[in-house]
Amino acid sequence: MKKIVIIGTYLVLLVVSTAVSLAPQDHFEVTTGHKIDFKNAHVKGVFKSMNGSMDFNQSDMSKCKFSLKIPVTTISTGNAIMDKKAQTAEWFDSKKHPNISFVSSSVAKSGAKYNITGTLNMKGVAKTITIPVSMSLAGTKITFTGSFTVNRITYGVGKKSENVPDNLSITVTVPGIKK
Amino acid sequence: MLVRYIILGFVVAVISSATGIVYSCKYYEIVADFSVVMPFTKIAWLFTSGSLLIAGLSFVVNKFLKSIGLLIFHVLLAFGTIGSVIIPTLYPPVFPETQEMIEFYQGFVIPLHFMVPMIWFALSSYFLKNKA
Repeated sequence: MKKIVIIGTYLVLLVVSTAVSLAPQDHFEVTTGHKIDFKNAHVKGVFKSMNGSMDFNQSDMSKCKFSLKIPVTTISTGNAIMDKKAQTAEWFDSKKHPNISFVSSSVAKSGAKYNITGTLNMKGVAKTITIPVSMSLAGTKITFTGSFTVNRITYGVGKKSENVPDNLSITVTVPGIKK
Repeated sequence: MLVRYIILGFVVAVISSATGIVYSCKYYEIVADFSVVMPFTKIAWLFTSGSLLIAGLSFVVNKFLKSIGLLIFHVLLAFGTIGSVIIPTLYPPVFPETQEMIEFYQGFVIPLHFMVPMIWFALSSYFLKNKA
């Protein structure tokens, strides 16, 4: 009887300790050092602020979740007049839609990179996009870097114009720290 | 026979967990604080899991290889421990050469890898004998 209790305790403790110790800590908060650059032939700039969280588990992509928010008012093109114009109803309409948001729905590994698919919500228009990113992990810090193209017209940002091309090339660097 | 291995596993788990916690406490205080990514509870659970796994494997190897069982197992444990240190470094995307990574892996994690086997080697001769 005593032997059975000891062996039972051993097995239970072995399973529990292995499960607890191998459970991934995969929650990251977006930290400073992020970069959101956008550019096309006629305009370029950055969004200075970003916040949100990232759940990233290399061994189980189904547990990955990205939720990011960019305040539109933090746009900076290097031209104060353009920055102000970007807040108007014709462009980002920051009063009605103060944030650009991205919420992932799935993450897939593709070679050394990851394809993050999710909903990009800009000016109240939600569209599904896929962003290919590379990831680097160092200690408690993780960084995702990727670039993609957005057609501003499909989101109602500005009007068709010969001066401002429809497509904007966006490069993002999102660092996170484990929480 | 099995009970001896299990008791040794429990003893190694307790002593190595205490050693690991004291070590990490000092490391977080003196060098760098990794308590977010590696809290004390995680160290204790990892060491408990490792100690009990070593106890189980040791029993199995000794049961089948009889007189040379412990000898073979201890050689495997030594090389396995060294391998567990080297193999992860072969994946540069996971182990970039940043200052923080050096402090985390080379400074903090590598010594932890040796704690459970060291305590196992120190105590096993008090509990175990080669099966004749």
